Amino acid sequence: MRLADLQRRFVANLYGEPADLRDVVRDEGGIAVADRVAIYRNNLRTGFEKALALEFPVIATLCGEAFFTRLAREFQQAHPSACGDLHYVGEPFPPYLRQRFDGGDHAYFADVATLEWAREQAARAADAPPLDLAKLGAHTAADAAGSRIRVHPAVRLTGSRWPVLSIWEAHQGPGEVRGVDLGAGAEQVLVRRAANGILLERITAAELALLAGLQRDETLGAAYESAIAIDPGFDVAASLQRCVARGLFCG
Amino acid sequence: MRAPHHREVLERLPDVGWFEAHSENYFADGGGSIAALERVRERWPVALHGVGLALGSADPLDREHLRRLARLARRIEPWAVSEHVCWGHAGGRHTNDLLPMPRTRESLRHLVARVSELQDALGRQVLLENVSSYLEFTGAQYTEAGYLAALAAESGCALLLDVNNVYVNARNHGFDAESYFDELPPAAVREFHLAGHEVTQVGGTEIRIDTHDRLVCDEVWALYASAKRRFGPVPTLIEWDAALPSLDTLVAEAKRADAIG
Repeated sequence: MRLADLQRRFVANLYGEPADLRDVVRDEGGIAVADRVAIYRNNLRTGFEKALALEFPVIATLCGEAFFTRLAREFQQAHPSACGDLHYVGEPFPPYLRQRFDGGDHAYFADVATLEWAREQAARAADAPPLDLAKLGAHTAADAAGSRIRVHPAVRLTGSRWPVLSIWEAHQGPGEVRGVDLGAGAEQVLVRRAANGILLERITAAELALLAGLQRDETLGAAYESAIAIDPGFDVAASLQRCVARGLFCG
Repeated sequence: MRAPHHREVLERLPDVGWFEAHSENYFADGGGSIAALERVRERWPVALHGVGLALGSADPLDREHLRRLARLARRIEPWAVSEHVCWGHAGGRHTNDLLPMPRTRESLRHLVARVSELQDALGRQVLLENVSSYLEFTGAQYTEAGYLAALAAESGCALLLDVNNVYVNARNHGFDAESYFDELPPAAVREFHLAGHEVTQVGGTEIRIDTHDRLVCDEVWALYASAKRRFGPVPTLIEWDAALPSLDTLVAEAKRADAIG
């Protein structure tokens, strides 16, 4: 059998499709061919589930072991790993959860997963020297409204109608997971990289609109318009200062 | 070298000769992990060990993966870059596992071409490592060691000999580990791996699973002593990837390996 045919058939079998391997795998005696193949099928499932649980530890805890195992398997069938680097298996997980739990009791899972994936991305994003306040002044003085400010590559922004950061925080540290009132309302989260790791902070909806606009390479004026549409009293100067102090911009 | 040990390694500066890192764990564009590896590299030689390129897959080679590996190699300047004699995906579906090669002339030709492409892309010789296996494909035209020897001869690559994997496969498939060594070209072996494995039963028959989650067993230490006599004291790595022990345990295993032979 040609190499490509053998490999397609073997992978199909591991993914649970009816692909006969009797003439492909040698019968060595002792352990049956099907049991030998089952070792690899089990590795495929547990390896994938483990990688997913590492990327989405809060979702794994919210689900509990048995449900997470089932969910991981369903997700793996719908989105088989498409890369030799396991760090990418979780990329389609938040949209998958959105569609899977749409409108149900677990609809907030997708937003929690989005936050967890944002942390992963922030950890792996490019390095860039932060912009200092003096440079920001020079940058914006000539034509403040028309200027553009580059948001640091490791900044991620996510908003939810659920208290996603409170849910995430309740799952950190040892001990019992604290209950969170799902009705507590929306939270917007800034994810950024600092010297001591990845930090998550609550920000206002207006601040999120400003930063999201800048991240889309809009002018400061356009991003400001989105922010004051949400909060007419939004203090853009104070907000920009806070952003610079936290290293959210780069040169 | 695993992320949970980054800080302790950089603070305690353990007395070991070098470190090896899974290439894919440092493919990030930036951030803390790659920065930690760069700091380790300032003090020790580092080898990059890939687990995801799956050179034996008939699917097209993942150019982005190759680009990231080349970028990492430029950044770290490793003393060795290694990959596995394996395949891992078909029709775009990945298993993220090290699947054994069907040992045919066709698959060897394919693997030789891929290894050559990798060596050209990196501008250096690479090391290819034997993997543990729990099954063999039909139609083998080479022994496992014969396949490695032919790969090295035809592609010009060197070999990373995982002594634990030789032992695991010798027990799983019933061959003699010493005869395996006889078939390898001695000068091609440039690095050893040692690791712990699990012994389990399937339907009443024993099988050994390569788990990298425990101490090296006595039989593998004995085989390692023999490998060292044949192939010389090439750098040896203790692989431990799951149920990570303390740094002290790892350093003690590395010292035990150094003391042999």
